[in-house]
Formats: sequence, structure tokens, C-alpha cells
Amino acid sequence: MSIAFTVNGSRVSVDSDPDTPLLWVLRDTLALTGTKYGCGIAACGSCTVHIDGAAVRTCVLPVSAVADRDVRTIEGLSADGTHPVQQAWRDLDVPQCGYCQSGMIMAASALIAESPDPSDDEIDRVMTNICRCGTYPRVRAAIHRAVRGDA
Amino acid sequence: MNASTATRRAVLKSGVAALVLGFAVPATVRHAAASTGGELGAWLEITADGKVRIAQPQSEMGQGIWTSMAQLIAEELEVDWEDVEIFSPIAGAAFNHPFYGFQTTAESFSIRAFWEPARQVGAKAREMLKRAAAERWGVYPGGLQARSGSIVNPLTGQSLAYGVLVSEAAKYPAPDNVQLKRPDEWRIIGRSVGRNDTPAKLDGSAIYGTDVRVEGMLTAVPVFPPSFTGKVRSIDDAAARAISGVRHIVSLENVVYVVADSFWPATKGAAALSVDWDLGDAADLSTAAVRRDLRDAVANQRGKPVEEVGDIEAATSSAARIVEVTLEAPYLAHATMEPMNTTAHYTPDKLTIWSPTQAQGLMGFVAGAVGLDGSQVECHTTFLGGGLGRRFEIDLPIHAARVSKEVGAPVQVMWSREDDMRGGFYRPAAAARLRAAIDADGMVTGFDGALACPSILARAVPDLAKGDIDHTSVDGVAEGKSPAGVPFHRQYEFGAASRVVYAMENRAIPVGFWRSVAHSQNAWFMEGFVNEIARETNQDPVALRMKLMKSDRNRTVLERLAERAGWGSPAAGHHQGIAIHEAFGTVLGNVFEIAVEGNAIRLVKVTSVADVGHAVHPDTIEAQMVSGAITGITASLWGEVTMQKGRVDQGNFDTYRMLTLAETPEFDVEILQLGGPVGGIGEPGTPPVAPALVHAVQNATGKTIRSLPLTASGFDLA
Repeated sequence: MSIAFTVNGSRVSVDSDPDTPLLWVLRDTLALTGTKYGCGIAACGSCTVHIDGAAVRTCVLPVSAVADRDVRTIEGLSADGTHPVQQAWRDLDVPQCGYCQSGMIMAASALIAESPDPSDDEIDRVMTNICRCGTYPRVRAAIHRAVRGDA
Repeated sequence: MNASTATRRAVLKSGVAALVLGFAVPATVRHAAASTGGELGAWLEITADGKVRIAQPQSEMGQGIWTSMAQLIAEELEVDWEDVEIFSPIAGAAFNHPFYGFQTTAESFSIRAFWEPARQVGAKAREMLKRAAAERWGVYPGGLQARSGSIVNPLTGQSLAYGVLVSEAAKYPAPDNVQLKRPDEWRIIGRSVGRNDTPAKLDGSAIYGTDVRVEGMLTAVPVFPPSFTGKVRSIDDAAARAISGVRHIVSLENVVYVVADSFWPATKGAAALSVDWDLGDAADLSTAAVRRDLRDAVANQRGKPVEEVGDIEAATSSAARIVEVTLEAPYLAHATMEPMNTTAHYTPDKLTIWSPTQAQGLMGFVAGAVGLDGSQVECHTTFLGGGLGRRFEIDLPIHAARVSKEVGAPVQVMWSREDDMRGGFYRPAAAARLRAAIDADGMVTGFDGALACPSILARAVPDLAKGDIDHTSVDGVAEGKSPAGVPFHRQYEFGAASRVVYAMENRAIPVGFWRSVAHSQNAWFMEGFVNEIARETNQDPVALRMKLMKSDRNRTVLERLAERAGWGSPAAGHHQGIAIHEAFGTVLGNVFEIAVEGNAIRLVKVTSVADVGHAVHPDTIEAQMVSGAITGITASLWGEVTMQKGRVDQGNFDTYRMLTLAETPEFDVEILQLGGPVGGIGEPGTPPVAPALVHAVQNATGKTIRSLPLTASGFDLA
């Protein structure tokens, strides 16, 4: 079945079973491997992308659900890695193994788009992605830095 | 194709005139290389435009080795960090680990082992470049200086960039003796330069094992038996083969792979596959039974003596009192963020592996598993989405190679989260019964210890488990040397008499190296024991340790920790706990500050002080100390793998809980550089977490906690 949607500004049409999770369409059909598989039950957030601007976990989201919608992945967050979140992440060397960081960055960028200067409580509530390396203190600091320009 | 030609081709393709700077590898490495047929060079390339490409053979799994190894080389080479590029080379004997003799990343042993050899790589290249400049100018090389990627003649002011000297320099043999820079001359070592792997990890371009894409590649998803001794009896694959995209069903005796065009159809095929299993001996095995056996072993002091000094019977019978504890630790899973995977392409004369591996040097065994020679395997190392010791195992590469051979195409073997959780190689469960003889003044006069756990080495490296003694199982609790000749160490002196016995209780549950190996349980045992002695004898835990410690280095760390954390004066309503441990060449202590209401714990602050000898990249060390602590917190609170009847109960993050951002305490880390040998950083952060956290909970509640995780004692986070 052919399903059409927008990815990182480009219109795509894919032939997939409609129940295939968007994650695997992105990774295996569209070769956008920046979005990661971590758990398959929407528990870890490694597969987070933006759909119409909101952070969504794609490992349990059927591709049919994004027909005619606007999907943005880590590859399309900015043209040259200069989104304020990416910049802050670079300044503080947030990633360690880095595997969860695509999802972490997509969740953080959606958060500050909606809440321009999030409080620690908001960060606690929204940033539920799992990081096995424990980059959490730097994730928090980098979100503040992305909006305030300091650590 | 060997590593040198591979990198040459890569450079030629990029259109930059360049030469590989080939020279003899350091003596310590050369010995190991010779024993495996070896090759030379491949560490460095300098392009005509002055870029320095440094091969980085250690596996980058978050610990920052990608950057810090290159810092050692760049320091001696005298180049500006901004001109350094780092690449992951094809595995080769030139990159053999100086201690282990094969290419691997393990035991927080990269900077420690390459501390001198990597600096020698840079220094030798520097001297060869000087000689090339000296030939051009007709002067002696001794008077020349290397500065920021150029050789300079200070008398004439002449200067030549490395890029124009490199082709001549590469013709000279590497000098045998080179002078390394003094610490006060370092410009790059000790500096928290921007991590070289960060940019690619921010835009999705970093390639992990699961991101490898090879022309014609298929994806293979496993179906495991519900028992660690299960074997295929028969397979009904009609329903699986009916799924669109499923191409092959491959049986490897104890696992069946469904091979499809991509992951999703392979997963659907695996769900549809019906396998009749012979479950074997471990069909009824439970972790409760293993744990009971371990308690029984230490209660009866079963096992082999690993330390015997003085007369412990006399010391205990004449003691004013005995302090005794029995402590337990559960099986733990690694649960790296990137689930297990490896890509392989078998052809009759060559096996190519792309893997997030910690054990490149073991790929000869993988070649052997598909009937090829060790010289016929080419291993490409991707970034690792966490390693934690799990990726030292070569089960995934073997599976990928065998399935590729079977189906005649490149294959990516890809396990789900549940496959990873249930697929084995756990931190072993363990038990300890530790007894101290105490005199009338509260001094410890004797130590009688018993340890029991399955052995990792008996499975993975049997030669190192001679005499049923596995040094990794007793390190941190006992002092001595294994029959295989490997030393183990305890930071405390417990009087004139000491005895430790170790019972190797091997079971069908596969055990493996987990972040900090047995230090992860032995620090909990030893520090829990010392905190118990302090409590029972009404002594301050810091003051008691100052008396018992063998080394002034450990005392210095402990003193600094107590001062920095405000030991003994927590904020109102808060409670503290302390532990300190020595492992992987580093001494690290923690003070946990928590608040407790009923059985609900709130983690407030963790203060860590560590001595690493010399800090190559202080910011990465800070990150690793926090990371190690979070691994330890997660394990201490919730970590436990259980089995009822042959099958692991946990499957995903809903049943194997991870700490989240909101639950994370404040961290305060101080890195000491006392100037001794450089210490490891990837693992030392984990061991002193459980005992410090449990100590704080006991101090807050007065309750006795003898087993992990804390949830098993009814505690949880608020």
C-alpha cells in the first residue's frame, strides 16, 4: 500500500504494510538511520521524531498514521547542525555512547519550541527518554543553555 | 586488503595528496604483533594540507577514548588539536592491546595500556619528520624543533610543514629511543578539548552497528529456546515463510534465525515461526535455586583458599567480639541502549564483519566458525551504542557469519530488546560471608571471608581460571595471586590473620563481563562489611577506614571526599552514606546524601572524589564518574535478572527499570591527580555506589539491608 507524507521537507511515497512502524520505514525504506531502535515499546524514546512539530515515539506508530503529515527526523533538524539544541549539546559535550541522543535532541527541541524557557519541573516531566550512559545532568544543563545561552 | 592500503585508498579517493606515515610500532606492541603474524604502521596519516589523521583502534562506547587516545599521540606529534581527524581503522595486529596481545577494549584499560605506546607513536613520527627537515637543510636534527605541525630551525627561522616532509619522513626507520615530553610541557594532554565524536552524534550521521548498510544485505532476527540449554528438535516454518519479505529460515542448533528483506518482516516472521525445542538440562533452572546454593556455599565456607595469612582460627577464638555479615548480589543484564547486532558478509575466501565490538582481536575465532582462517577476516568497528562488557562477546559476529554463509548474502543479525535481555551473559549473582575479629579497643585483628559466584573466566578464558580460582571473582575482597598468576588486591589490612575462600559455582546461566566486573559486587560486600564494623563498634566510618587502609593514596582520596561532602553534617532531614573502592588503577569514593520518608527514597546529592594519577581529558572523566554512578544507582535500586523455569522473567525496560532524568540526583565530582600511574575511568565509578547508597538508607531508617536491589527490601524512589 502506498502512503505519502513529508520527511524533512521532501514529499515521499512508500510502499509498506500500513502496520509497519514509522521507525522501520524511516530506517529501512528511507535510509534515515539517525532515528534509533531501543525498545520497541515506546519506553526509551530513542526513536523520537517530530510529527507536525510534536515529539512522537515512532517504534509503535504505524506508518499509516502519518499519511499526509509532516515528519522531521534528526537529519532534518537543521541544515548544518546549528539548531540551538545541537549547539548547546556540542558546547557541553552531552553525548557519551550517543545512541539515545537523536531521540533526546528531538524531544528537547520539541520541548523548547512549545515552552521557550522550560523550568526544571517541565524538563523532568517531558524528558523521559532513557539514557543508559547517564547523560541526564548535561541534558538538563544543555536545554537551559539552548534557550538562555549559558550553562 | 590490509589496513594501510585501505586507508591509502580512502585518502586517494578524497583527492588529497597524502602518505601513510609507516613506522615500526612500539616495542611492547611489536612483540604481540609478531606472535600473530602482524603488520606495521597504519596509525597516522598526514595530508599535504596539514591535516593529521589518527587511527583510533579502541572501541568508542561512550567513554571518550576516541578523543583521549588521539590526545596522547597529538601531544607528542606537536600538532594543533584543530588539525586532528580521527578514524576507526580496519582491525589489525598493529593495534594489538599492549597488555592482552590482541585488539580489544576492556577493563578500563585503554589509556592505561597505551599511555606510553601511544605517546611513542607520536614522538617517533615527530623525530622522523625532524630528520626529513634536517636532510633538506643539511643540519643535524638535534637542534630542530617541532611546533604546531611544522619543523622549525630556531637558528635560521626556517620552517617546513609536516605535509611537505611526510613522504621523506616515511622512508626512515622509526627511531628506537625517543624522549617523551614532561608533564609540564603538555599542551593537549590534560585539556578538555571538544570530543571528536560529538558532532556526528548530534545530526544522525554517526554510524552504529545497526546503521550499517551493505548492498544486498538481509536482516536476520532470532528465535531463542526458553532455556539456556535448549536445542532445535524440529521447525514448522510454513507460517513464517508466508510473510512477505521473509527469505530464509536458518537453524544454528540453539537459535533459529528468520532472514528477511528488513527488520520488520523478519520480526513478523519470527513471531510466526513455530519451533519444537529440546530444553535440555537447564529447563527447570531458577535463579532462586542458584542464590540458595551461593548462600549455602558461603555459610559452609566451601571452596578454594585464595588468601591465607597467620592463624585465623586463633584470631577469631581470642577476639573480644566478631562482626559478621552475609551479603548478596543478583544477576544483572547489560541492557546497552543499542540492542545486540552485527553485520557479516561471507564469501569462500573472505569474511567481512561490521560490528559494534569490543573484541576485534577475537574475529579469527569467528572466521574459524565458518571454516576460514584468521587471516581471511576483515573487521570494521562502528560506534558502539554502549558496551558495558557485553560487546566483548563474539556470539553476534559468529551468528552473523554463519547465517551469511548459509544464505549466501550479507546479513545483519539484529536482536530485539527482549532478545538482548534474555540472551545471556549476565553479571553473576554472588554471595559473601565476611567476618572480622575485633579486639577490646575496637581494632580489627583478623579477617575471615567466603565468596561464592559463577566464574566468568571459566566460561570465557578457562586458562585464567586454573585451580577453580577466578581472580576477577575475588578482586577487591582478597589479597594475593591466582594459580594463573594474576594478582588481586584489597585496600584494607585486617590485622595479622586473614583467610578468604572462593567457591566457583558455575551454572547454565551464561555469565559475562559487566561494567566493573566483580568489583560491582565485591565493593558492595567489602564496603558494606566495613560500614557494618563501624556501626557495630561505634566508630566513625571514615576514621575506621583511615586506620585500616594500606595506602596513603587511598587515605588522601578519603580525606578529600569527607571534606568535600561535609561528611557527618548532612542538611536537616538528610542522611549520608559512604564507600570507597580501588579498581582499574583508580581510587574512587562516594558520599550519598538522601532523604527518606517511610520506604520512599529521594536521591539528593552524590559527591565523588577520584584519583586517576593523571587526567588526560578532565571533562570526560567527570562524565564517566557520573555515568558510572548512574549505572550503579540503577542497579542498586532495581537491577535484578530472575528466572523461574529456565527462562528469564525480564524482557524490556518496563520490567528492567532504568533511572530517568527526573530521578537523577545532583552530582559533585572532584578529580585528583596525585601523579602515580594513570588510572582507568570507564568502570571505577560504579563499584562504590551500592554500598554508599545502602549505607545512607540504613543510616536513615535503622533497617538492616543485606541484599540488592533495594526494591527487594521494600524500598523505592519517592
